[in-house]
Amino acid sequence: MSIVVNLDVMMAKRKIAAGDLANKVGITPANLSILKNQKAKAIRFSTLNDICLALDCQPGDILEFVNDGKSDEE
Amino acid sequence: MSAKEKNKGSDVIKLTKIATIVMICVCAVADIFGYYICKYVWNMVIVGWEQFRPITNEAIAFPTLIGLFYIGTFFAYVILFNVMKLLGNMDNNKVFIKENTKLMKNMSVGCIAIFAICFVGMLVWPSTLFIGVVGLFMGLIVQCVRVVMDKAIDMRDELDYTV
Repeated sequence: MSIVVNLDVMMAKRKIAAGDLANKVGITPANLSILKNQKAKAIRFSTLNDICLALDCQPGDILEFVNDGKSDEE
Repeated sequence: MSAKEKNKGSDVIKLTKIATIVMICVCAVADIFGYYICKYVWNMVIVGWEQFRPITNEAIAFPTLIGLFYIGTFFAYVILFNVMKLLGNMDNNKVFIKENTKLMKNMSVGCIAIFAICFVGMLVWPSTLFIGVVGLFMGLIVQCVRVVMDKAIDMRDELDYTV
């Protein structure tokens, strides 16, 4: 997967703890850690919306595409 | 998950487990009395088939039969112990895990190996092919179920890792 989640960078910038963000967004801390550890396979628009709302940022601040020439299946 | 959902099909699994244990016992008994069973089969059915079998020499054909019988029971053990493990996993509510697909692959390999053994058994007694074809189809069915299960696991993973 060439999509990198830079959630921890944004969280550090906003100085918010993982538990607080999970509470604000309304997802479980386990799911937030899946997202932070690059294990997530998909993210709902509603979750992305809530994260952007909580961190006051754009989706591009959290998600980044790194071109390594591979498709998802490889 | 409610308790009722958790126990879904547990009686079926229990019955299948008992059946598997009985089959393992039957295999063990067959191993102990392998020589006599082969002798019985030889005297009852194979003796009349001289004109149909490629190996006509009894001194070679009978040991071949015994050898194939024991190799066959070995693969029967492989299948039965894999079934046992699979049922144990299902009993512990671990149905959609990668380990189960591996167990099913072992099972299908065992079935297809029994087909191969029965194919070789045609040298002694051509009717073994009918037993072998059953094994081949069982192996293919298990393989199909394995592919379905693999896809289900992938879908569940996708769902579990959607945030």
